[in-house]
Amino acid sequence: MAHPRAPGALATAAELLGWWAVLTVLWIVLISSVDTLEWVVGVLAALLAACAACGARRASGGR
Amino acid sequence: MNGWTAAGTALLLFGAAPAGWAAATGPVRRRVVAQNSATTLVALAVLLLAQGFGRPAYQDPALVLAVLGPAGTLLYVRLLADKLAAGPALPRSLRAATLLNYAAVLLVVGPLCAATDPGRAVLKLLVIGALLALGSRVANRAASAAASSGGGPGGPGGPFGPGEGPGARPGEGTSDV
Repeated sequence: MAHPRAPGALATAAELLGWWAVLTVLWIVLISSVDTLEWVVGVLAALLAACAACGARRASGGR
Repeated sequence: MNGWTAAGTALLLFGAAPAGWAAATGPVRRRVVAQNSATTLVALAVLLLAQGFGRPAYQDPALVLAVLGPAGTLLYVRLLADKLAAGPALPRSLRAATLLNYAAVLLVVGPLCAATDPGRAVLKLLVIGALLALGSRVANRAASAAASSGGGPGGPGGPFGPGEGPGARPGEGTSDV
């Protein structure tokens, strides 16, 4: 996803942003009715899950 | 009863039930593979029944199963790693179970997508189908790797090499638990 030579913080931020976008879209796809509240909840939940995904990938050695 | 519920019931009777039986009896390497097939087939049956009963919300158990089923199989592969490594490598028929799972996913998700109005509902079905196919691939590959890793003398002894598993501590090569 990120260039291996990019500075560490930038690469992590890019990865987090990527996960966040994908997971927010996934939330919106999987719920039955889309409204403002669902967007807010989805964006926050996706941010949490994106942090977990970054951590999990780092723990597995970036595979 | 309509065609969808009939297909779902048939899938439960002639797909999930035999897979469940195969997961409950026989050698360990077959049981692990059969367990993964059973979760895949049950999830597909739930999708068919949800369509048959006209309740899209019933698709959610299939989504949950698509995520948790392969994770459960990976857990069993990890726990049974020494038994899998002690036996022979997975025969071709067991490795073909992945192909059967792919075929079942295509045969169920395809018609369901065709019967659903285009939109987020179709995307959801495709996401569930992709998760089922990917999960089946990952779980069967892990089972196959675990079974073939320790087949001969001097094999590494499991899907995780010495000191590589999640529970391994530094400096601890092999576990005698």
